[in-house]
Amino acid sequence: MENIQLPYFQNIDTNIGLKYLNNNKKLYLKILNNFLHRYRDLKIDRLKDNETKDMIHGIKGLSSTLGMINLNKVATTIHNNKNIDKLKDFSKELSIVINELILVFEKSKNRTILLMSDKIIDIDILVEVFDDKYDVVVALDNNSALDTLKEESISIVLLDTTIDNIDIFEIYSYIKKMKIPIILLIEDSNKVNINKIFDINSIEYILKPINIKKLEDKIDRYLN
Amino acid sequence: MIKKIKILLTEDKKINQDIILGLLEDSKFEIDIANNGKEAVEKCKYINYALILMDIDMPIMNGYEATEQIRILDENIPIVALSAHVDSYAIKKSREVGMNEYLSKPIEPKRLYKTFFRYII
Repeated sequence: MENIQLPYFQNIDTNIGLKYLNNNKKLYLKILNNFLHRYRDLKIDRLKDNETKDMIHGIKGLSSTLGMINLNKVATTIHNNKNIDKLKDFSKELSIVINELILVFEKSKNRTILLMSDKIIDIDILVEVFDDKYDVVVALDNNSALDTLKEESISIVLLDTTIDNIDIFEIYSYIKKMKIPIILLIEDSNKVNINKIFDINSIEYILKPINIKKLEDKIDRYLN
Repeated sequence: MIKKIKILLTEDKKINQDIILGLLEDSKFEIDIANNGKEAVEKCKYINYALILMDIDMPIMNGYEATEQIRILDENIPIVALSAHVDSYAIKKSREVGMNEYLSKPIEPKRLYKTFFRYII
């Protein structure tokens, strides 16, 4: 999906990463995320010599692919000169990259979107778009939505008003009482009916077919 | 159904496997994975691959040894080395054991595709 936006990184040159990953932003984010999980708990001082060598070798290759320039410089120096003295610099550069990745991925990842919809096609698209940035939980009906709201900490709700067998007003009021922001997804043809229940000017909504960029902006505004 | 071209990726690190798999996701290549040289040799006994991508530094059996063993089974299959470790020794050694080409990491997608075109298509 091309509407994925790369976050801004201070210590990673995303142009380099995109070049080596064929401009595939989704793949890039996935590999950065993998990198974070692979190396975040690394205790360099506890590694044996051959493990250190392997680790430096692995990071040397990955850091050049992913655009982690400073980390790559130190890894290359150590690798080429077998210069273990630089291990301290290496640890420092690695933790700079790891901390930035944590900031970017986890700050938003602990925000959960509850998507209430029974339209598989919308669910597929929205989960695909938002899953890299946020946790997305889907509820197909009232009951599972209520369960999720009780059990999980939800940051925002997307409520599809065309969902079958649901009292939109009841669920809307319930969520509002919990002080959770809510965006209604409204079919243009159904706008009139919705207007009978709500004052359309006082609610946050987006018309279907969904303009992903608009929805993304709205959600980001609430969550960031 | 269109028959996909089978390629064997021999790479021990999951994250590097993901990079290659991601780059070739929508291509006409079907990627099979071997996690080390030994697995690659075993797979080559039963499956005909169009090409093998071979990492060099791997546990259990490295890329050089694996290539030597695969060459006994098949003289012609293209074997392309992938490595972050490039020096004259590595390149010479890769030739000696029978690798056709040496791609240094980071691998530029264009170079990877070009290599495929040269050997397969």
